[in-house]
Amino acid sequence: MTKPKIALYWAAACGGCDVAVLDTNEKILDIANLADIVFWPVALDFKYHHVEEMADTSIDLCLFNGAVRNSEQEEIARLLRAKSKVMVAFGACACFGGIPALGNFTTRDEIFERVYIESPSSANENRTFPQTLTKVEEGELDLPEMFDTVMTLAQVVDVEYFIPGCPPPVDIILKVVDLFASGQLPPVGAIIASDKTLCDECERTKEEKKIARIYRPHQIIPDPNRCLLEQGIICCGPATRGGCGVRCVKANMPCRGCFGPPPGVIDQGAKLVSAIASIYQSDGQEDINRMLEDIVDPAGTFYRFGMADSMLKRKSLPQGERRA
Amino acid sequence: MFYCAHMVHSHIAHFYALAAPDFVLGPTSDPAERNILGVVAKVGLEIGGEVIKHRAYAQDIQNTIGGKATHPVFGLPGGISKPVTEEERKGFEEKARSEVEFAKFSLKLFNDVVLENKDYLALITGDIYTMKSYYMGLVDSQNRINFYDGDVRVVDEDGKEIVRFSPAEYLDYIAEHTEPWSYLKFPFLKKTGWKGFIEGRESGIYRVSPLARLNVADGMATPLAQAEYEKMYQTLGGKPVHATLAFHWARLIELLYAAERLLDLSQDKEITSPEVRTIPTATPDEGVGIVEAPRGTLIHHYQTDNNGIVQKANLIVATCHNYPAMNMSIKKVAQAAIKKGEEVSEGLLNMVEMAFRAYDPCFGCATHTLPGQMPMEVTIYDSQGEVVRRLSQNLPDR
Amino acid sequence: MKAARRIPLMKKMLAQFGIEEERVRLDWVSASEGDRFAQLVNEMTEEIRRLGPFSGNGGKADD
Repeated sequence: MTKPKIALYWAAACGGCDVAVLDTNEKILDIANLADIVFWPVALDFKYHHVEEMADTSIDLCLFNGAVRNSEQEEIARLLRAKSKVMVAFGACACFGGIPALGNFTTRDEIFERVYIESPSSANENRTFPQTLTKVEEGELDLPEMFDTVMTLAQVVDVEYFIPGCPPPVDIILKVVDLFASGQLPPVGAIIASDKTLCDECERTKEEKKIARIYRPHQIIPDPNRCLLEQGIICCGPATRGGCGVRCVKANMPCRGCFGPPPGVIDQGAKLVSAIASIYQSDGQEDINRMLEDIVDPAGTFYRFGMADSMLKRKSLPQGERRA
Repeated sequence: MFYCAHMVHSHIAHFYALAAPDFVLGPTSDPAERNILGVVAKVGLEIGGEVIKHRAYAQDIQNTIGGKATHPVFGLPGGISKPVTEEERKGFEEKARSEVEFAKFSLKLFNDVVLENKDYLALITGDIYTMKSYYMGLVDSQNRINFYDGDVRVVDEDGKEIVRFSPAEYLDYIAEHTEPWSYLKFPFLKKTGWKGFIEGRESGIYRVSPLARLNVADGMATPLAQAEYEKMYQTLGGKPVHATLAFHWARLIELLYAAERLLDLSQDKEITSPEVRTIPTATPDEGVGIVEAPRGTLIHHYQTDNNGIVQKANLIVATCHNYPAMNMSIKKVAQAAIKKGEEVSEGLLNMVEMAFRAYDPCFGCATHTLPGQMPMEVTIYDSQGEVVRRLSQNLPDR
Repeated sequence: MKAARRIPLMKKMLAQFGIEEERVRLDWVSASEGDRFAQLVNEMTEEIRRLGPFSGNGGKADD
C-alpha cells in the first residue's frame, strides 16, 4: 500500500512554523515513516516543478504556513490546492494574516519608499526600486509582484482545516498528524484548538473584572498568580481561542491573541474593544480620557495577529485598490 | 543563557538539516535522499536520535525561560518577565553538559566524514567555493567573539582590523545599495563604497557568519572551543579563512562555544536571582541594538514617539549583509562547474545551492517583504550565445 | 454606560484604519425628544454626504 503524501510550504512567514514542526523532535521520524513528505522547501530538496508534475489531489495533506502577500505565494497556494486533497492553514499567519498582516496599515508604495529610499542606511540617489521584470545582458530577471494587502490562505483558496498559533504548539501538531493517520479528521472547516476562550484554560485567580487604570507590561511588575487583566494589563484572553497551554501568561506576559477569535466571535479586535472598555470603571469624561491615553495603540494591540481576518481587513487605501 | 540555547538549537538544525546532507550523502546524490531524513538513515537512528535530542534540549531551555522557543515573549523594556528557579537551573545545567559532549561529537563527525575525505576537503579548500572578502562580527573588549554585547569589528582579507564601531555608529560605516532585480538590498562598507559585484580589497563587500566571527576575533572565550578554533586555522592554512564551506566548520566550533557558555551561565550563582527586571524611568526616542544572530550580525534600529511606540524601524539582518557575497559565490560555482561538453545536471544545481546554503536558508527576514522562496535559474549558453539548457526552480512557467 | 467607553475607544481605533472620526457619532436622546432625534439624524446625514463614500479597504471583490 502506498504511503500517504504530505506537503509543507512557507509563504509570507518567519520560518517559525517549520521550526515548530521540527520541534516534534523524534516524532518527525514517525511522521516520515507514516507518510512521504513530498515537498518541504526548508528541509527537503523538492522544487516547484516536482509539485507541478504531481497528479491533482495526489497530496493527501498540505500544511501551508504564512500569509499571502505576493503573486508567487498566491500562485503556489493555488498550485498546492489543486494537488492536495486536504489543505490546512497552519499557524496564525495562514489563518488570520499574523504579524505580516500589520502591513495592512500601509501600502506597497509606502513600504517601498521607506525601505529603498528613506531608511537611514539606504544609498539610493537614483531611486531604484525592485521591478517585476528587469532586462539584463543575459536575458530577463523577474520578481513576484508584491500586493498592497496581505491575505489569509482562505481568502485565496478553499481551506479544510485551521491550526492557529504563533507557532502552533507541538501537541496540536501531533494531534493533527494522529487524526490524519487514523482517518479521524474532524468535519471540514474545523479550527483545531479549544472551543473555549483562553481565560477558561488560564489558572490564575480571577475575581471581579473592574479596572481603574490600564498599564503596559513594562509599567508594573504584576502578581504572577492573579489575572493580568484584573491588574490592568491588557490581555487578549477573553477574546482569544484557547488550546495553547497558556504559554505566554505562564511566562508572566499577557496573551496577544495568536490563536484568533473564539467560537461565535467574527472580529477579534472589535470584541477586544468591547471587552476592555466594558471592564474599565469610569466616573466621567476624565476617566474615559485617561483610558484612551493609556491604550496607546488600540489597532495594533487588538489586531496584532488578526488584521487580514478582520471585518475591515486593512486601512483604507488612498484611491481605489491596486491589487487585492 | 537563553541566547546560547538559541544558538545551540539553530546551529544544530542548520548543520544537520541543511549542510550535512550534502556531505553525508554527497553533493550530487538523489534529492529524495539528500536531506535530514537521508542523513539519519545513513548515520543510523542512534546518532539521528542524538541530533534530535540535543536540539530538543536547547528548545526546552528556551521554552522554559521564554514562554515559547519560537517567538519568545519574555523580553520587555527593563528586563525579562520571569526569573529562573533553582529546579529549572539544575535541569539546564544537566542539559548543558550533554550539549558540550554533543558539540564535541559533532566536530568529530565533521572531521571523520568531511575532513578525512580527500574529495570533500578539496571541495572546501578549492577555488570555486573560496571568496576573499572583508569580515564583520561582534567582539568583546578582549576581541573574543560575543553573541550578545560588544563592538562591531571589521577585518580585511588579511585579517587586519580596518574599523571598529559601537552599535550607535553603524550608519557611519554601512550603507545599502538597491538593484531592480531584487527586493533585498546590498549592504557595503562606506569606507570603500559600492563598487559592484567584485572581490577583494577594493570592493565594499563584506561577509558575516560563524566563519566571519572567527576571522574577526582573536580567539574564543571558552577553552574547548578555543582549541578547535586553533585547529581549524592550522588545518586551513592560517587566518583568515576564505572558504565559504568552512562556514559549516566554524558553525560547529561556535556550537561548542555556545554549549560551554551555556554550562558556565547555568552554574552562575546569580542566574536564579529573582531580580530580572526594573521599571524604566524614561522613554528613549531612538536606539540601535546589534547582536550576532546564528548566521551573522543583526542590526535593529528604532525611532519611537514619546509613548515609546515604534515610528520608524531599520533592520539589517545577517542574510542581507551576506547578500552581495551570496550572489557572487553562486556565480563562481556555476561558472566553474559548467564545463563544455559535459552534461549539466540536477547535481549541478545542488552544487550551486551548496554555496547558498552555507550562508542561510532564509530570505524571509532579509527583505522586509517576505517573498519566502528564492527563485533560481541557471541558463546555459553555448559559445554562440544560444541557449543549450535551462534549469530552474521556483519560477513560473515560461 | 459601557457605550460611553466603548465608542470613544472604537473611534480612536477606527482613526488608525483611516476611518474619519465624524463617521461614528455617539449621542444621547430620550424617547420623548423626537425633534432632537430628527435634527441629529439630519446633521449626521449631511456630515456623511460631505465626507463622501468610504474610500474602500481592499480585500476580495465580494466584500
